[in-house]
Order: sequence, then C-alpha cells, then structure tokens
Amino acid sequence: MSGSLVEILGGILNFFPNTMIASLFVIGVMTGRLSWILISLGGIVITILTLTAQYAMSKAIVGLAMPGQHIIETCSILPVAKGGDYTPVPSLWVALSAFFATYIFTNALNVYSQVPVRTNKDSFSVQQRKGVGIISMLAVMVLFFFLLIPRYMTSCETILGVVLGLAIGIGGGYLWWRVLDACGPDVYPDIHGVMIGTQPGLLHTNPIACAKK
Amino acid sequence: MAIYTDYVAAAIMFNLQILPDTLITGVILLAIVLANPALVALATGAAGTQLLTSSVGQLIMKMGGISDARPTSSLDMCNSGFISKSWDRLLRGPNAPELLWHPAAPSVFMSTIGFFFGYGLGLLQLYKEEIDAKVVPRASLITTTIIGLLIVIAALTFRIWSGCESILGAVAGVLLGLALGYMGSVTLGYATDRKATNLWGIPLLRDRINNGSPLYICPTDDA
Repeated sequence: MSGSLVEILGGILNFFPNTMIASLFVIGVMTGRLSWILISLGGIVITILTLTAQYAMSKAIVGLAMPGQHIIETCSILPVAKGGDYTPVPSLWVALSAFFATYIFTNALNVYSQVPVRTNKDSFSVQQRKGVGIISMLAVMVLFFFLLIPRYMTSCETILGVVLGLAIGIGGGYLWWRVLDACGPDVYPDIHGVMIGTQPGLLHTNPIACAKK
Repeated sequence: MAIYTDYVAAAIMFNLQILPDTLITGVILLAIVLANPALVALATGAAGTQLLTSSVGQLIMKMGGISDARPTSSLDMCNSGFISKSWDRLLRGPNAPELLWHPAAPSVFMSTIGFFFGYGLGLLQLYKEEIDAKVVPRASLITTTIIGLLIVIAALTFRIWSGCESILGAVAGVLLGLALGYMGSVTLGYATDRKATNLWGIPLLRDRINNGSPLYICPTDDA
C-alpha cells in the first residue's frame, strides 16, 4: 500500500506539467471551459519554445545533455521517447510548472484586486471573490515550491536549467495571461471562472436591461 | 518524420495511455490551486466511477470464471494506471499484477472518460436557461461537445486497437461512465440548486429573477 502511494506521488511529481496540460485541455473540452483550453494551448507554446531553446543550448554548449534511456525514463515528462539524450537546460519541467503557477497566480491576483463598480465592496459576493483569490494565490505558491524542491533533489535538474526554466515559465505565464486579457478582458484568461459573474455587460446576453439616458 | 514519431505521436500515445488517472489527478490539483469546490465534486465522481466499474468488473469475472492476473510494466500500453498503479492495484498492493478482465466486463479506462463526457452533457441540461439566454455562447459549447466526442472515440479506438479491451467491454464502459456522469451531474446540480456543479462560474438567471434584480445591465462609461 505505502509503496504504491509513494509511486503515485512520485508520478504526480514527475508528470505534473503533462498532467496540467492534458487535464486543462480534456476537461476544458468536455465541460465547455474555453479559458482552460486556451491555457493548455499556452502550455503547448511554452513546450515548443523550451524544446527549441534546449536544442539551441545543446548545440552551443557541449556536455549539457545526459545520455541514456534510463535517464529519459526517470526525468523526462515524456518517458516513452526513444533515443536521444535528456537535456536539462533550460528545464522543461520547471518552465511548464512555473508557467502554470504564474498564470494562476496572476489571475488570482486579478480576482482579488478588481475593484467592484456596481456592488458594495463589503458585500458578501465581493468578499467571497477576494477569498477565492487569496486562497488560490497561497495554494499555488505552496504547491509550486512543494513540487519544485523535491524535483531539484531528484538530480534531474541543474541550477542553470532551473534558472532559465523559471525565466521562460514566469515570463511566459504572465505574457500569456496578458495576451488573453487583451483578447477578452476577464473572460478568456479567467481560469478561476469567477470574473465572468462580475462583468455581465461584457457578455452577449439576452434579455438585457439597458438604462437609456 | 523522426520528430513526429519520436515526440508528437509518442506524446499523444502516452497521454492516451494514462489519460484517466491524469484527468483525476489534474482535477484534484486544480481544485486545490483554484479553490473551487465544484472541481472536488467532479474528482470525487470520477474516482467513484472507477471504483464502481472496477467492482462490477470483478463481479462479472467471478461469475464468468476468470480470475487470472498478468504481469505488466509501466510502459505497457494497456496499463491505464498513473505510472502503473490504478485504484485497484493500490488496494491490492504494490506488486500485484494487472487483473485479466472478463471480455464482457466494462472497461474502467473507458468508463472514466465516459464519465467526464457525461458530466459535460449534464451541465448542458442543467444550465439550459443560461445557455438559451446566451450567458455562455452556444456555438462554443457545440464545438467543444463535438471535440469531446472525438476524444472519447480516439480513446475507444486506442484501447481496442492496442488489444487492451474487447469491443463489448469498451462500449459497456463508455455507456456506464456516460450514464454515471450525466446522472451524477444532473442529480448533484438539482440537489444543490446548481451551485456545486457551476464549473463555469456563471451568474444564475433564476437567482436574479427571484431577487427581483435586473438580469443584466449594459456596461456604463465609467465601468
């Protein structure tokens, strides 16, 4: 029982970025959450960018790659890839984990800090929204560091790979949130599904009660 | 083509292989980091579906006379558990081999996928008033439902093509999961006045009508 549990927790740690991309896409599709699908697409964009950076780094700096199929099976978030080497600089695991953590944190901060326009700031709904924002910010930070520290201790990562991965992930997460926010404020980037209820005027709703001047 | 076969195709195949446990783990993690109780209900329902389907399968195996087990590795295409461990193996111990399912036993893998699809269909029924009022765009819901159906078909094809399921077991699994997901979603929705199932976070029209407040208002210049 305990052996299985350790293996399951190890699997969650190893496949965390893959789990996030696949879950956000599939559950987003099955339940009609467009914002989740867009975030998973952002994860795929970050994957492509990081793999490209890994290829460039492995060509530029000799000795970065870790050879061996057993390394791929242990460290890679895609352990079925045959042949080739595992390149930890920049770290794909760190880049993707930081991407999701930053994105969720940015949106939670937006959920927390939005100033209500039509509602009293002390109302229950506003306090509830702020509560969701602050719990989410704390939870995502705790989870991220809870996963990052054991991951670094697995010997699958290097300091340079972690630093570059953090730079790609944090930058990518914030930029992707900004891009989606520019496309549809409070609707497309809203992974929490909270802001849609605060901005009904943004939606194409029917019936609409407009106050004519 | 090496990139396609070694990485793209391998990534799709690997994700299909571990899809059920990936989804349950993902929903639990998202429920924590998004502070969303509706996702806890979804994860509980999916885990419950796995346990129920597993129990039905074991009952059919006892009645059908199959009680053998076969060794598997984590890279076995049929191993749907999260890195080789499913709920069933978690309960039976770390070294327990995979059970050989009866061909007529419903697939645990497919029932989990069917559950999520059924849950989504239940949401369309539950929030029909809001969808009719265009709170959620109908076109995007139709598109995602069709893509969701394609994912179910892809998973079904993968399992049958890999030789992991009989056609009967796979289809029975989908139907069982679909029924549990749909019924679970609708029942939970009506039991909690649609609050525990509100994954979209949309404002409910009925609440606003009952409160006597305007349904929606136009954005003002200062908004």
